[in-house]
Amino acid sequence: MIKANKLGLKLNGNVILDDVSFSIKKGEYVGLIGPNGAGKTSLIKLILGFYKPSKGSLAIEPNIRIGYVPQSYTLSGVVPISVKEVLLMSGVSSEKIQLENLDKVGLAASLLRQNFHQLSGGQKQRVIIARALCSKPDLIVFDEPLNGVDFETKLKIYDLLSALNKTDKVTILFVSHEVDHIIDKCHHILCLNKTMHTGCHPLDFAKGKGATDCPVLSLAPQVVPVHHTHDNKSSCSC
Amino acid sequence: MFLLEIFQYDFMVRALVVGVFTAICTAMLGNFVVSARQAIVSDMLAHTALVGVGLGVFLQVSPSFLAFVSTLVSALMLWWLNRKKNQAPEAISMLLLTGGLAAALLLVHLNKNNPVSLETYLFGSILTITDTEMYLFVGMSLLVIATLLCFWRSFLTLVFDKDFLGIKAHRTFYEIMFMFLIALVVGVGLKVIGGLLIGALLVIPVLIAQPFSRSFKGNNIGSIVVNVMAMIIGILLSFYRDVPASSSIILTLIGFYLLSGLFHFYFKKFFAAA
Repeated sequence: MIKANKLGLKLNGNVILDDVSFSIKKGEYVGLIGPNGAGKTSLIKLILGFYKPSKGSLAIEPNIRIGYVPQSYTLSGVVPISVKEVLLMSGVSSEKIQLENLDKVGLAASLLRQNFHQLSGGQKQRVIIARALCSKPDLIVFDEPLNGVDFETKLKIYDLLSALNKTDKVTILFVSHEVDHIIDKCHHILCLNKTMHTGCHPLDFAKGKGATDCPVLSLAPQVVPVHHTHDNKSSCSC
Repeated sequence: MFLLEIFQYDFMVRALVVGVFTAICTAMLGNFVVSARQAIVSDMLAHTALVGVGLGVFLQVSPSFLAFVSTLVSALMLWWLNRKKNQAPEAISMLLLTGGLAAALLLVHLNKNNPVSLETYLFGSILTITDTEMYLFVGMSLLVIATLLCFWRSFLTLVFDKDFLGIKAHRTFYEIMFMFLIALVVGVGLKVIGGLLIGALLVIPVLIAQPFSRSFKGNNIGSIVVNVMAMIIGILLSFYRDVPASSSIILTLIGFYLLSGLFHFYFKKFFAAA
């Protein structure tokens, strides 16, 4: 579905991404982790088409529908907006489809005409996921969508995403700081810190070992996604 | 009926017609402007429009037309400078605002013997609108209303979540069109309410409707009703009390704002439950 080969991105003369290669296949649940400033959001913006690569190539399967759930939700709290209007942004005006997707994310139909700003953080995030689902996407990109959401709601949303991936066959690219939460859900995890780090276990990478302590990196800068198994047997090869 | 008396005067009919259309389009666009947190941009554009007025006076070309052109140029400059993201958008707005006002003063000073007063465009002069201006302003207002209605969903997404619009449509196209609409409204508002006061018609009705609405559409309807009422009451006050129309319109709006605050305070339980 997506194949990046030696991808590079420069913004205002600064190197944001360098030599990034990875691939995402249809139906996969892929995690993307990395520290602040690693270029995670920039990589997502490349996939969404906001930026063009400075070097390398990014091949995205033609005519796929991409849904997007942003980092910190940007809806301004100043002017009221109903849940129905938020779902309308997807381009789908059918109330039937809107209600189906609200139901899919576990929200009551009665919320459709409520003011979005008066919902709880977890409800808001579910509405945004429902908005992404309305256009029947082949791929949904989640850019750290659970910042500021309480622990219990986070677990419920993680379960919801797993269910969407399994039952609806939606490909998911999930950006997160919280490796512990996504490690059991993902088919594989990409470790990014300007370049794609390979040969390290994602948990080691998250603890800061990936960037400097991994001899594989200094010896072989070519990048391959870290394949991680569901039984958590993958280990650092450092 | 003493109220019917005003319809005997052509200038009052023109003022009411233009006033109502201006109130509708400013209230509608105001909801988008406030949601996009760009209230200061409308103020900046109104000030840079004065460069066009000054240039019009200097070159003896229609000040209203050149005001629209200079507003559009400033809007595009602001959009382009903001895209570079090297400097704070408010600071760039302030630079254009003060620069525009300074250039307008200079141009008017260079041609100080001209009978056209800058004051007309600073504080508006709705009662002196001519037939031609009436048709022009009504046409411009209708264009703004029709564009907002046709591209409602795209503008809604632009002001609330522009990254999401970026994956659905050509975001730059809507950003430029949004700036164009603000420029059109400023072009109308310059003569109707004045460059220094146009921001009030965009922002205050949105603030008044906000506590009583649960949807963007509801807030639009509420702010249109409030803006049209304030416009009519303000023009009537101006006629019967011989006060400047711009100040009576804006002060009526501020009166509505205070009343709505009191109303919401006493009946907030009702609105919370609704």
